Amino acid sequence: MKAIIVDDEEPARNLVREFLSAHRNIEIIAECANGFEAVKAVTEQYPDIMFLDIQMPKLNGFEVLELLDELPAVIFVTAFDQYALKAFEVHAADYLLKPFTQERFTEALNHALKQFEHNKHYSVKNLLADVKPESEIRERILIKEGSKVLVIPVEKIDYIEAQDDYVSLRVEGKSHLKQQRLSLLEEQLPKHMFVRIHRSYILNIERIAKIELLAKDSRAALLKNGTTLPISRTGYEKLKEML
Amino acid sequence: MHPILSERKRIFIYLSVWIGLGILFSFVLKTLSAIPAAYAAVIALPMFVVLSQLNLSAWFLAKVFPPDKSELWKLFSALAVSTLLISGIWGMLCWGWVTLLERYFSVQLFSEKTAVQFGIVVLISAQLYLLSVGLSYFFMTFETSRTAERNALELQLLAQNAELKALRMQINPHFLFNSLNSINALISRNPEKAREMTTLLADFFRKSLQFGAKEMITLGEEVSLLNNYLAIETIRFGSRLTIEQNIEPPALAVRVPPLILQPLLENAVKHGIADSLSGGTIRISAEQKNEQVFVVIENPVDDDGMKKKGIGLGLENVRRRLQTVFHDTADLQTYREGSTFRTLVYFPMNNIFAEQ
Repeated sequence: MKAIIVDDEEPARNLVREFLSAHRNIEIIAECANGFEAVKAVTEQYPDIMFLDIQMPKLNGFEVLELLDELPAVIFVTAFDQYALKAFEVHAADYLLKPFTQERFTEALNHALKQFEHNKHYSVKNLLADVKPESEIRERILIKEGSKVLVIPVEKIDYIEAQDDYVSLRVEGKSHLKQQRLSLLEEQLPKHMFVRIHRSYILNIERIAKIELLAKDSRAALLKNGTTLPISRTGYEKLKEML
Repeated sequence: MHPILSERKRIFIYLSVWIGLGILFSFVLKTLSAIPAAYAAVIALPMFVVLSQLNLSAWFLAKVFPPDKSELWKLFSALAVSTLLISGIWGMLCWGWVTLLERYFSVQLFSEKTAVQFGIVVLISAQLYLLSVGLSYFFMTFETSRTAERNALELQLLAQNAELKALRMQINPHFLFNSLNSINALISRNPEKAREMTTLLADFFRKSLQFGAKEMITLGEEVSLLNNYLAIETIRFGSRLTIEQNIEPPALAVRVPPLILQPLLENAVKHGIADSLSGGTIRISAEQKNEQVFVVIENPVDDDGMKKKGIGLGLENVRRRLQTVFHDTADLQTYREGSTFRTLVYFPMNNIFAEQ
Protein backbone atom coordinates (compact mmCIF):
# COMPACT_ATOMS: atom_id res chain seq x y z
CA MET A 1 0.00 0.00 0.00
CA LYS A 2 1.27 3.43 -0.95
CA ALA A 3 0.26 6.59 0.87
CA ILE A 4 0.97 10.30 0.44
CA ILE A 5 0.64 13.03 3.02
CA VAL A 6 -0.45 16.51 1.98
CA ASP A 7 -0.32 19.31 4.55
CA ASP A 8 1.31 22.72 4.52
CA GLU A 9 2.34 22.47 8.17
CA GLU A 10 5.33 20.30 8.88
CA PRO A 11 4.32 19.23 12.39
CA ALA A 12 0.98 18.09 10.99
CA ARG A 13 2.73 15.94 8.36
CA ASN A 14 5.00 14.51 11.03
CA LEU A 15 2.02 13.42 13.08
CA VAL A 16 0.45 11.49 10.22
CA ARG A 17 3.81 9.93 9.44
CA GLU A 18 4.22 8.85 13.03
CA PHE A 19 0.72 7.40 13.30
CA LEU A 20 1.28 5.56 10.01
CA SER A 21 4.47 3.97 11.31
CA ALA A 22 2.32 1.62 13.37
CA HIS A 23 0.96 0.22 10.09
CA ARG A 24 3.79 -1.75 8.52
CA ASN A 25 1.86 -2.56 5.33
CA ILE A 26 1.69 1.11 4.37
CA GLU A 27 4.59 2.89 2.75
CA ILE A 28 4.77 6.66 2.56
CA ILE A 29 5.86 7.51 -0.97
CA ALA A 30 5.59 11.29 -0.74
CA GLU A 31 5.08 14.21 1.61
CA CYS A 32 3.70 17.36 0.00
CA ALA A 33 3.63 20.85 1.47
CA ASN A 34 1.04 22.20 -0.98
CA GLY A 35 -1.56 21.31 -3.57
CA PHE A 36 0.75 21.62 -6.57
CA GLU A 37 3.16 19.09 -5.16
CA ALA A 38 0.21 16.86 -4.33
CA VAL A 39 -1.14 16.85 -7.90
CA LYS A 40 2.33 16.10 -9.24
CA ALA A 41 2.93 13.29 -6.74
CA VAL A 42 -0.42 11.62 -7.31
CA THR A 43 -0.10 11.86 -11.10
CA GLU A 44 3.40 10.43 -11.15
CA GLN A 45 3.34 7.91 -8.32
CA TYR A 46 -0.26 6.60 -8.12
CA PRO A 47 -0.71 6.32 -4.34
CA ASP A 48 -3.53 4.21 -2.90
CA ILE A 49 -4.28 6.45 0.04
CA MET A 50 -4.00 10.21 0.39
CA PHE A 51 -4.05 12.19 3.63
CA LEU A 52 -5.20 15.61 2.52
CA ASP A 53 -5.34 18.92 4.35
CA ILE A 54 -8.03 21.27 3.05
CA GLN A 55 -6.81 24.77 3.85
CA MET A 56 -3.57 25.13 1.91
CA PRO A 57 -2.00 28.02 0.03
CA LYS A 58 -3.13 28.59 -3.60
CA LEU A 59 -4.68 25.20 -4.18
CA ASN A 60 -6.98 23.79 -1.51
CA GLY A 61 -7.73 20.12 -0.91
CA PHE A 62 -10.91 20.09 -2.95
CA GLU A 63 -9.19 21.72 -5.91
CA VAL A 64 -6.46 19.08 -5.74
CA LEU A 65 -9.12 16.37 -6.10
CA GLU A 66 -10.75 18.23 -8.98
CA LEU A 67 -7.49 18.11 -10.91
CA LEU A 68 -6.84 14.40 -10.50
CA ASP A 69 -7.92 11.80 -13.05
CA GLU A 70 -7.45 8.82 -10.80
CA LEU A 71 -8.30 9.31 -7.18
CA PRO A 72 -6.76 7.37 -4.34
CA ALA A 73 -8.86 6.77 -1.22
CA VAL A 74 -8.92 10.17 0.47
CA ILE A 75 -8.81 10.98 4.16
CA PHE A 76 -9.23 14.68 4.85
CA VAL A 77 -7.16 15.95 7.77
CA THR A 78 -8.23 19.41 8.85
CA ALA A 79 -9.07 21.73 11.73
CA PHE A 80 -12.06 23.07 9.81
CA ASP A 81 -15.24 21.15 10.50
CA GLN A 82 -17.33 23.34 8.21
CA TYR A 83 -16.01 21.32 5.26
CA ALA A 84 -17.23 17.95 6.57
CA LEU A 85 -20.35 17.95 4.41
CA LYS A 86 -18.49 18.79 1.25
CA ALA A 87 -15.94 16.12 2.08
CA PHE A 88 -18.65 13.48 2.01
CA GLU A 89 -19.94 14.86 -1.25
CA VAL A 90 -16.58 14.11 -2.83
CA HIS A 91 -16.74 10.59 -1.36
CA ALA A 92 -13.93 11.01 1.11
CA ALA A 93 -13.20 7.82 3.00
CA ASP A 94 -13.07 9.75 6.25
CA TYR A 95 -12.58 13.13 7.80
CA LEU A 96 -10.06 13.64 10.61
CA LEU A 97 -10.43 16.71 12.78
CA LYS A 98 -7.19 18.11 14.19
CA PRO A 99 -6.08 17.20 16.78
CA PHE A 100 -6.89 13.49 16.72
CA THR A 101 -5.82 10.29 18.53
CA GLN A 102 -4.05 7.23 17.18
CA GLU A 103 -7.33 5.27 17.61
CA ARG A 104 -9.34 7.71 15.54
CA PHE A 105 -6.56 7.74 12.95
CA THR A 106 -6.59 3.94 12.68
CA GLU A 107 -10.37 3.98 12.30
CA ALA A 108 -10.10 6.45 9.43
CA LEU A 109 -7.34 4.39 7.85
CA ASN A 110 -9.54 1.27 8.00
CA HIS A 111 -12.35 3.16 6.28
CA ALA A 112 -9.92 4.15 3.57
CA LEU A 113 -8.64 0.61 3.12
CA LYS A 114 -12.21 -0.64 2.81
CA GLN A 115 -13.06 2.01 0.25
CA PHE A 116 -9.88 1.20 -1.61
CA GLU A 117 -10.87 -2.49 -1.84
CA HIS A 118 -14.34 -1.52 -3.06
CA ASN A 119 -13.25 0.94 -5.68
CA LYS A 120 -10.32 -0.96 -7.06
CA HIS A 121 -12.07 -1.73 -10.30
CA TYR A 122 -14.41 1.18 -10.29
CA SER A 123 -13.59 4.22 -12.30
CA VAL A 124 -13.05 7.05 -9.89
CA LYS A 125 -13.96 9.49 -12.60
CA ASN A 126 -17.55 8.27 -12.32
CA LEU A 127 -17.58 9.01 -8.65
CA LEU A 128 -16.39 12.49 -9.29
CA ALA A 129 -18.94 12.99 -12.03
CA ASP A 130 -21.62 13.15 -9.33
CA VAL A 131 -19.79 16.00 -7.78
CA LYS A 132 -18.41 18.02 -10.61
CA PRO A 133 -21.54 19.70 -11.93
CA GLU A 134 -21.30 22.29 -9.20
CA SER A 135 -21.95 25.56 -10.87
CA GLU A 136 -20.39 27.94 -8.39
CA ILE A 137 -18.77 30.92 -10.06
CA ARG A 138 -15.00 30.59 -10.29
CA GLU A 139 -12.39 33.29 -10.13
CA ARG A 140 -9.78 31.03 -11.61
CA ILE A 141 -9.62 27.95 -13.75
CA LEU A 142 -7.37 25.04 -12.84
CA ILE A 143 -5.68 23.10 -15.60
CA LYS A 144 -3.44 20.10 -15.31
CA GLU A 145 -0.80 19.69 -17.99
CA GLY A 146 1.02 16.47 -17.31
CA SER A 147 1.79 16.63 -13.62
CA LYS A 148 1.94 20.40 -13.62
CA VAL A 149 -0.92 22.57 -12.45
CA LEU A 150 -1.78 25.89 -14.06
CA VAL A 151 -3.90 28.40 -12.22
CA ILE A 152 -5.51 30.80 -14.65
CA PRO A 153 -7.41 33.85 -13.36
CA VAL A 154 -10.58 34.07 -15.45
CA GLU A 155 -9.89 37.65 -16.53
CA LYS A 156 -6.81 36.46 -18.39
CA ILE A 157 -8.85 34.20 -20.67
CA ASP A 158 -9.49 35.61 -24.18
CA TYR A 159 -11.93 32.99 -25.35
CA ILE A 160 -12.76 29.32 -24.98
CA GLU A 161 -13.36 26.90 -27.81
CA ALA A 162 -15.11 23.53 -27.57
CA GLN A 163 -13.09 20.60 -28.96
CA ASP A 164 -14.85 17.23 -28.65
CA ASP A 165 -14.68 16.27 -24.95
CA TYR A 166 -12.31 19.10 -24.21
CA VAL A 167 -12.32 22.83 -24.06
CA SER A 168 -9.41 24.88 -25.27
CA LEU A 169 -8.70 28.04 -23.29
CA ARG A 170 -6.92 30.79 -25.15
CA VAL A 171 -4.75 32.69 -22.66
CA GLU A 172 -2.04 35.20 -23.50
CA GLY A 173 -1.42 33.74 -26.94
CA LYS A 174 -1.33 30.12 -25.76
CA SER A 175 -3.94 27.37 -25.80
CA HIS A 176 -4.61 25.13 -22.81
CA LEU A 177 -6.73 22.01 -22.96
CA LYS A 178 -9.05 21.03 -20.14
CA GLN A 179 -11.34 18.05 -19.97
CA GLN A 180 -14.70 19.64 -19.37
CA ARG A 181 -17.89 20.37 -21.25
CA LEU A 182 -18.29 23.91 -22.58
CA SER A 183 -21.79 24.28 -21.12
CA LEU A 184 -20.55 23.45 -17.62
CA LEU A 185 -17.66 25.87 -17.92
CA GLU A 186 -20.10 28.51 -19.12
CA GLU A 187 -22.03 28.18 -15.85
CA GLN A 188 -18.87 28.59 -13.81
CA LEU A 189 -17.62 31.74 -15.49
CA PRO A 190 -18.66 35.19 -14.25
CA LYS A 191 -21.71 36.29 -16.23
CA HIS A 192 -20.67 39.89 -16.54
CA MET A 193 -17.43 38.94 -18.30
CA PHE A 194 -18.18 35.98 -20.55
CA VAL A 195 -20.78 35.31 -23.23
CA ARG A 196 -21.52 32.14 -25.15
CA ILE A 197 -21.45 33.67 -28.63
CA HIS A 198 -21.64 30.39 -30.49
CA ARG A 199 -22.25 26.68 -29.92
CA SER A 200 -18.48 26.23 -29.79
CA TYR A 201 -17.28 29.55 -28.33
CA ILE A 202 -17.33 31.48 -25.07
CA LEU A 203 -15.88 34.97 -25.36
CA ASN A 204 -14.46 37.41 -22.86
CA ILE A 205 -16.35 40.54 -23.90
CA GLU A 206 -13.47 42.83 -22.97
CA ARG A 207 -11.48 41.35 -25.84
CA ILE A 208 -13.91 42.46 -28.54
CA ALA A 209 -12.54 45.07 -30.97
CA LYS A 210 -15.61 45.17 -33.17
CA ILE A 211 -18.47 43.11 -34.51
CA GLU A 212 -18.64 42.64 -38.26
CA LEU A 213 -21.72 41.92 -40.33
CA LEU A 214 -20.71 39.32 -42.91
CA ALA A 215 -24.10 38.68 -44.47
CA LYS A 216 -27.70 38.88 -43.33
CA ASP A 217 -27.85 37.21 -39.89
CA SER A 218 -24.22 36.25 -40.14
CA ARG A 219 -21.82 38.07 -37.87
CA ALA A 220 -18.29 37.66 -36.57
CA ALA A 221 -16.40 39.10 -33.60
CA LEU A 222 -13.06 40.65 -34.37
CA LEU A 223 -10.86 40.46 -31.27
CA LYS A 224 -8.18 42.94 -30.25
CA ASN A 225 -5.52 40.34 -31.02
CA GLY A 226 -6.83 39.95 -34.57
CA THR A 227 -8.66 36.66 -34.18
CA THR A 228 -12.09 36.36 -35.76
CA LEU A 229 -14.77 34.22 -34.11
CA PRO A 230 -18.19 33.33 -35.51
CA ILE A 231 -21.30 34.65 -33.72
CA SER A 232 -24.54 32.74 -33.90
CA ARG A 233 -27.95 34.43 -33.98
CA THR A 234 -28.73 33.65 -30.29
CA GLY A 235 -25.14 34.54 -29.46
CA TYR A 236 -25.66 37.94 -31.04
CA GLU A 237 -28.86 38.46 -29.05
CA LYS A 238 -27.00 37.76 -25.80
CA LEU A 239 -24.11 39.96 -26.80
CA LYS A 240 -26.43 42.83 -27.71
CA GLU A 241 -28.07 42.57 -24.29
CA MET A 242 -24.72 42.89 -22.57
CA LEU A 243 -23.21 45.68 -24.63
CA MET B 1 -49.11 49.14 44.24
CA HIS B 2 -50.92 52.42 43.84
CA PRO B 3 -48.38 55.14 43.03
CA ILE B 4 -49.92 57.54 45.58
CA LEU B 5 -50.07 54.96 48.38
CA SER B 6 -46.52 53.81 47.71
CA GLU B 7 -44.97 56.85 49.39
CA ARG B 8 -45.92 58.62 52.64
CA LYS B 9 -45.12 62.02 51.12
CA ARG B 10 -47.47 61.45 48.25
CA ILE B 11 -50.32 60.36 50.55
CA PHE B 12 -49.83 63.58 52.53
CA ILE B 13 -49.88 65.79 49.45
CA TYR B 14 -52.87 63.95 48.02
CA LEU B 15 -54.89 64.32 51.22
CA SER B 16 -53.89 67.99 51.55
CA VAL B 17 -55.20 68.71 48.09
CA TRP B 18 -58.50 67.02 48.88
CA ILE B 19 -58.86 68.77 52.23
CA GLY B 20 -58.19 72.03 50.39
CA LEU B 21 -61.00 71.16 48.01
CA GLY B 22 -63.16 70.29 51.01
CA ILE B 23 -62.51 73.74 52.55
CA LEU B 24 -63.39 75.37 49.24
CA PHE B 25 -66.61 73.38 49.12
CA SER B 26 -67.42 74.43 52.69
CA PHE B 27 -67.29 78.08 51.63
CA VAL B 28 -69.54 77.36 48.69
CA LEU B 29 -71.93 75.54 50.99
CA LYS B 30 -71.90 78.37 53.54
CA THR B 31 -72.54 81.01 50.89
CA LEU B 32 -75.19 79.21 48.88
CA SER B 33 -77.15 77.47 51.61
CA ALA B 34 -76.63 80.01 54.43
CA ILE B 35 -75.28 77.34 56.75
CA PRO B 36 -72.93 78.39 59.56
CA ALA B 37 -69.27 77.93 58.63
CA ALA B 38 -68.61 75.31 61.35
CA TYR B 39 -71.48 73.10 60.16
CA ALA B 40 -70.43 73.49 56.53
CA ALA B 41 -66.92 72.34 57.44
CA VAL B 42 -68.20 69.39 59.48
CA ILE B 43 -70.30 68.31 56.52
CA ALA B 44 -67.75 68.90 53.76
CA LEU B 45 -64.34 67.91 55.16
CA PRO B 46 -65.10 64.27 56.15
CA MET B 47 -66.99 63.78 52.91
CA PHE B 48 -64.02 65.02 50.88
CA VAL B 49 -61.68 62.67 52.73
CA VAL B 50 -64.06 59.87 51.78
CA LEU B 51 -64.17 61.12 48.19
CA SER B 52 -60.38 61.22 48.08
CA GLN B 53 -60.35 57.52 48.96
CA LEU B 54 -63.01 56.70 46.37
CA ASN B 55 -61.05 58.61 43.73
CA LEU B 56 -57.99 56.46 44.29
CA SER B 57 -59.79 53.92 42.11
CA ALA B 58 -59.31 56.24 39.11
CA TRP B 59 -55.73 55.03 38.80
CA PHE B 60 -56.86 51.39 38.62
CA LEU B 61 -59.28 52.27 35.84
CA ALA B 62 -56.45 53.92 33.93
CA LYS B 63 -54.26 50.88 34.52
CA VAL B 64 -56.88 48.34 33.37
CA PHE B 65 -57.70 50.44 30.30
CA PRO B 66 -54.39 51.83 29.01
CA PRO B 67 -55.20 54.53 26.44
CA ASP B 68 -53.13 53.07 23.61
CA LYS B 69 -54.31 49.48 23.96
CA SER B 70 -58.03 49.73 24.81
CA GLU B 71 -60.95 49.96 22.47
CA LEU B 72 -62.53 53.36 22.83
CA TRP B 73 -66.09 52.18 23.46
CA LYS B 74 -64.92 49.89 26.24
CA LEU B 75 -62.93 52.66 27.86
CA PHE B 76 -65.85 55.07 27.71
CA SER B 77 -68.42 52.59 29.01
CA ALA B 78 -66.08 51.70 31.90
CA LEU B 79 -65.56 55.37 32.56
CA ALA B 80 -69.31 56.08 32.51
CA VAL B 81 -70.15 53.16 34.80
CA SER B 82 -67.44 53.95 37.32
CA THR B 83 -68.23 57.67 37.33
CA LEU B 84 -71.93 56.95 37.98
CA LEU B 85 -71.02 54.45 40.65
CA ILE B 86 -68.52 56.64 42.49
CA SER B 87 -70.56 59.81 42.35
CA GLY B 88 -73.78 57.91 43.19
CA ILE B 89 -72.18 56.34 46.23
CA TRP B 90 -70.76 59.64 47.32
CA GLY B 91 -74.07 61.41 46.83
CA MET B 92 -75.80 58.78 49.02
CA LEU B 93 -73.07 59.04 51.64
CA CYS B 94 -73.44 62.83 51.70
CA TRP B 95 -77.18 62.50 52.10
CA GLY B 96 -76.74 59.99 54.92
CA TRP B 97 -74.06 62.07 56.62
CA VAL B 98 -76.20 65.24 56.60
CA THR B 99 -79.21 63.32 57.90
CA LEU B 100 -77.08 61.77 60.66
CA LEU B 101 -75.68 65.15 61.67
CA GLU B 102 -79.17 66.73 61.71
CA ARG B 103 -80.41 63.94 63.97
CA TYR B 104 -77.40 64.03 66.27
CA PHE B 105 -77.38 67.79 66.74
CA SER B 106 -81.14 68.10 66.40
CA VAL B 107 -80.87 70.92 63.90
CA GLN B 108 -82.31 71.53 60.48
CA LEU B 109 -79.32 72.30 58.23
CA PHE B 110 -81.20 72.39 54.97
CA SER B 111 -84.68 73.68 54.80
CA GLU B 112 -85.42 70.91 52.38
CA LYS B 113 -83.24 68.31 50.65
CA THR B 114 -84.16 68.53 47.01
CA ALA B 115 -83.23 66.34 44.06
CA VAL B 116 -81.49 69.39 42.59
CA GLN B 117 -79.18 69.59 45.56
CA PHE B 118 -78.44 65.87 45.28
CA GLY B 119 -77.81 66.32 41.58
CA ILE B 120 -75.32 69.12 42.22
CA VAL B 121 -73.43 66.97 44.73
CA VAL B 122 -73.30 64.06 42.30
CA LEU B 123 -72.18 66.34 39.48
CA ILE B 124 -69.35 67.82 41.54
CA SER B 125 -68.02 64.40 42.50
CA ALA B 126 -68.40 63.15 38.92
CA GLN B 127 -66.31 66.09 37.68
CA LEU B 128 -63.67 65.48 40.31
CA TYR B 129 -63.59 61.78 39.46
CA LEU B 130 -63.16 62.47 35.75
CA LEU B 131 -60.38 64.89 36.62
CA SER B 132 -58.70 62.16 38.68
CA VAL B 133 -58.95 59.71 35.80
CA GLY B 134 -57.49 62.32 33.45
CA LEU B 135 -54.58 63.01 35.79
CA SER B 136 -54.00 59.26 36.24
CA TYR B 137 -53.71 58.86 32.48
CA PHE B 138 -51.40 61.82 32.29
CA PHE B 139 -49.04 60.49 34.92
CA MET B 140 -49.19 56.97 33.54
CA THR B 141 -48.12 58.12 30.08
CA PHE B 142 -45.41 60.27 31.59
CA GLU B 143 -44.13 57.33 33.65
CA THR B 144 -44.26 54.95 30.67
CA SER B 145 -42.27 57.23 28.41
CA ARG B 146 -39.70 57.80 31.13
CA THR B 147 -39.33 54.05 31.69
CA ALA B 148 -39.08 53.46 27.95
CA GLU B 149 -36.38 56.08 27.69
CA ARG B 150 -34.42 54.51 30.53
CA ASN B 151 -34.82 51.03 29.05
CA ALA B 152 -33.62 52.20 25.67
CA LEU B 153 -30.58 53.76 27.28
CA GLU B 154 -29.80 50.60 29.24
CA LEU B 155 -30.22 48.47 26.13
CA GLN B 156 -27.86 50.68 24.22
CA LEU B 157 -25.23 50.36 26.94
CA LEU B 158 -25.73 46.61 27.07
CA ALA B 159 -25.39 46.26 23.32
CA GLN B 160 -22.24 48.32 23.34
CA ASN B 161 -20.69 46.18 26.06
CA ALA B 162 -21.72 42.96 24.36
CA GLU B 163 -20.28 44.17 21.09
CA LEU B 164 -16.99 45.06 22.71
CA LYS B 165 -16.83 41.67 24.39
CA ALA B 166 -17.61 39.87 21.16
CA LEU B 167 -15.04 41.90 19.29
CA ARG B 168 -12.41 41.15 21.89
CA MET B 169 -12.99 37.42 21.80
CA GLN B 170 -12.49 37.06 18.09
CA ILE B 171 -9.53 34.75 18.46
CA ASN B 172 -9.69 32.23 15.72
CA PRO B 173 -10.67 28.76 16.99
CA HIS B 174 -8.75 27.17 14.12
CA PHE B 175 -5.61 28.68 15.56
CA LEU B 176 -6.29 26.69 18.73
CA PHE B 177 -7.02 23.44 16.90
CA ASN B 178 -4.01 23.68 14.62
CA SER B 179 -1.77 24.52 17.57
CA LEU B 180 -3.09 21.57 19.55
CA ASN B 181 -2.38 19.40 16.53
CA SER B 182 1.18 20.67 16.42
CA ILE B 183 1.59 19.77 20.09
CA ASN B 184 0.10 16.37 19.36
CA ALA B 185 2.73 15.92 16.66
CA LEU B 186 5.63 17.18 18.77
CA ILE B 187 4.94 15.06 21.85
CA SER B 188 6.83 11.99 20.67
CA ARG B 189 9.39 13.52 18.32
CA ASN B 190 10.37 16.53 20.35
CA PRO B 191 8.90 16.51 23.86
CA GLU B 192 10.85 19.65 24.81
CA LYS B 193 9.26 21.58 21.97
CA ALA B 194 5.83 20.16 22.80
CA ARG B 195 6.23 21.40 26.34
CA GLU B 196 7.31 24.82 25.07
CA MET B 197 4.34 25.05 22.74
CA THR B 198 1.93 24.02 25.52
CA THR B 199 3.24 26.78 27.74
CA LEU B 200 3.15 29.31 24.91
CA LEU B 201 -0.44 28.42 24.12
CA ALA B 202 -1.46 28.59 27.79
CA ASP B 203 0.28 31.97 28.13
CA PHE B 204 -1.42 33.25 25.03
CA PHE B 205 -4.90 32.35 26.23
CA ARG B 206 -4.20 33.52 29.77
CA LYS B 207 -3.09 36.89 28.46
CA SER B 208 -6.04 37.11 26.08
CA LEU B 209 -8.46 36.53 28.94
CA GLN B 210 -6.61 38.78 31.34
CA PHE B 211 -6.19 41.66 28.91
CA GLY B 212 -9.58 41.13 27.32
CA ALA B 213 -11.25 41.77 30.68
CA LYS B 214 -9.67 45.22 30.88
CA GLU B 215 -10.81 48.43 29.28
CA MET B 216 -7.28 49.38 28.27
CA ILE B 217 -3.80 47.88 28.35
CA THR B 218 -0.39 49.25 27.47
CA LEU B 219 1.07 48.69 24.04
CA GLY B 220 3.83 46.79 25.85
CA GLU B 221 1.27 44.27 27.11
CA GLU B 222 -0.26 43.96 23.65
CA VAL B 223 3.19 43.39 22.14
CA SER B 224 3.93 40.63 24.66
CA LEU B 225 0.72 38.94 23.51
CA LEU B 226 1.74 39.37 19.87
CA ASN B 227 5.15 37.81 20.56
CA ASN B 228 3.46 34.90 22.24
CA TYR B 229 1.23 34.43 19.22
CA LEU B 230 4.16 34.67 16.79
CA ALA B 231 6.20 32.13 18.78
CA ILE B 232 3.37 29.62 18.34
CA GLU B 233 2.94 30.35 14.65
CA THR B 234 6.70 29.98 14.13
CA ILE B 235 6.52 26.41 15.40
CA ARG B 236 3.54 25.72 13.13
CA PHE B 237 4.92 27.27 9.97
CA GLY B 238 8.61 26.60 10.53
CA SER B 239 10.91 28.24 8.01
CA ARG B 240 7.98 29.78 6.13
CA LEU B 241 7.60 32.44 8.81
CA THR B 242 10.29 35.03 9.56
CA ILE B 243 9.71 37.94 11.90
CA GLU B 244 11.32 41.35 12.10
CA GLN B 245 10.52 43.71 14.94
CA ASN B 246 11.41 47.33 15.47
CA ILE B 247 9.55 48.71 18.44
CA GLU B 248 10.77 51.89 20.08
CA PRO B 249 10.55 51.68 23.88
CA PRO B 250 8.78 55.06 24.39
CA ALA B 251 5.85 53.80 22.31
CA LEU B 252 5.23 50.88 24.65
CA ALA B 253 3.62 53.11 27.26
CA VAL B 254 0.67 54.19 25.15
CA ARG B 255 -2.65 52.79 26.30
CA VAL B 256 -4.63 50.83 23.74
CA PRO B 257 -7.78 48.69 23.75
CA PRO B 258 -6.83 45.05 24.47
CA LEU B 259 -6.30 42.68 21.54
CA ILE B 260 -6.56 45.52 19.04
CA LEU B 261 -3.42 44.52 17.10
CA GLN B 262 -3.72 40.76 17.44
CA PRO B 263 -6.40 40.37 14.72
CA LEU B 264 -4.24 42.48 12.39
CA LEU B 265 -1.24 40.27 12.98
CA GLU B 266 -3.37 37.18 12.51
CA ASN B 267 -4.54 38.63 9.19
CA ALA B 268 -0.92 39.26 8.20
CA VAL B 269 0.09 35.68 9.03
CA LYS B 270 -2.92 34.26 7.22
CA HIS B 271 -2.51 36.21 4.00
CA GLY B 272 1.25 36.59 4.02
CA ILE B 273 2.30 33.16 5.25
CA ALA B 274 -0.50 30.59 5.35
CA ASP B 275 -1.77 31.48 1.87
CA SER B 276 1.68 31.61 0.36
CA LEU B 277 3.73 28.68 -0.87
CA SER B 278 7.12 29.96 0.23
CA GLY B 279 6.09 32.18 3.13
CA GLY B 280 7.95 35.37 3.97
CA THR B 281 8.70 38.01 6.56
CA ILE B 282 6.24 39.74 8.86
CA ARG B 283 7.48 43.12 10.04
CA ILE B 284 6.15 44.91 13.09
CA SER B 285 7.22 48.41 14.02
CA ALA B 286 6.05 51.01 16.51
CA GLU B 287 7.23 54.56 17.02
CA GLN B 288 6.18 57.68 18.83
CA LYS B 289 5.90 60.86 16.78
CA ASN B 290 4.29 64.14 17.85
CA GLU B 291 2.09 62.81 20.64
CA GLN B 292 1.00 59.91 18.50
CA VAL B 293 2.07 56.28 18.35
CA PHE B 294 2.24 54.62 14.95
CA VAL B 295 2.17 50.85 14.65
CA VAL B 296 2.86 49.25 11.28
CA ILE B 297 2.41 45.58 10.41
CA GLU B 298 3.72 44.39 7.04
CA ASN B 299 3.22 41.13 5.26
CA PRO B 300 4.11 39.92 1.77
CA VAL B 301 1.37 39.34 -0.79
CA ASP B 302 1.62 37.21 -3.90
CA ASP B 303 0.73 39.10 -6.99
CA ASP B 304 -0.87 36.29 -8.93
CA GLY B 305 -4.03 38.08 -9.96
CA MET B 306 -6.14 36.22 -7.46
CA LYS B 307 -8.47 38.04 -5.15
CA LYS B 308 -8.10 37.37 -1.47
CA LYS B 309 -11.27 36.80 0.43
CA GLY B 310 -11.94 37.70 4.05
CA ILE B 311 -9.63 40.68 4.40
CA GLY B 312 -12.44 43.05 5.14
CA LEU B 313 -14.20 41.83 8.25
CA GLY B 314 -11.29 41.64 10.69
CA LEU B 315 -10.05 45.08 9.72
CA GLU B 316 -13.53 46.54 9.92
CA ASN B 317 -13.96 45.24 13.48
CA VAL B 318 -10.68 46.80 14.56
CA ARG B 319 -11.63 50.08 12.94
CA ARG B 320 -14.97 50.13 14.73
CA ARG B 321 -13.36 49.42 18.09
CA LEU B 322 -10.92 52.27 17.56
CA GLN B 323 -13.83 54.52 16.66
CA THR B 324 -15.77 53.50 19.78
CA VAL B 325 -12.85 54.19 22.10
CA PHE B 326 -11.01 57.10 20.49
CA HIS B 327 -13.57 58.62 18.12
CA ASP B 328 -11.47 60.46 15.54
CA THR B 329 -8.11 60.51 17.31
CA ALA B 330 -7.13 57.00 16.20
CA ASP B 331 -7.47 55.19 12.90
CA LEU B 332 -6.47 52.22 10.82
CA GLN B 333 -5.22 52.42 7.25
CA THR B 334 -4.05 49.79 4.80
CA TYR B 335 -1.75 50.17 1.82
CA ARG B 336 -0.56 47.87 -0.88
CA GLU B 337 2.91 48.61 -2.18
CA GLY B 338 4.06 46.15 -4.78
CA SER B 339 4.22 42.81 -3.04
CA THR B 340 3.92 44.29 0.46
CA PHE B 341 0.68 44.75 2.34
CA ARG B 342 0.96 47.35 5.08
CA THR B 343 -1.45 47.96 7.93
CA LEU B 344 -1.00 51.20 9.87
CA VAL B 345 -2.71 51.98 13.16
CA TYR B 346 -2.17 55.16 15.11
CA PHE B 347 -3.18 56.02 18.66
CA PRO B 348 -3.08 59.31 20.59
CA MET B 349 -0.20 59.20 23.09
CA ASN B 350 -2.07 61.05 25.84
CA ASN B 351 -5.52 59.60 25.53
CA ILE B 352 -8.31 59.85 28.06
CA PHE B 353 -7.25 56.54 29.53
CA ALA B 354 -3.64 57.58 30.03
CA GLU B 355 -3.99 58.40 33.71
CA GLN B 356 -5.72 55.15 34.65
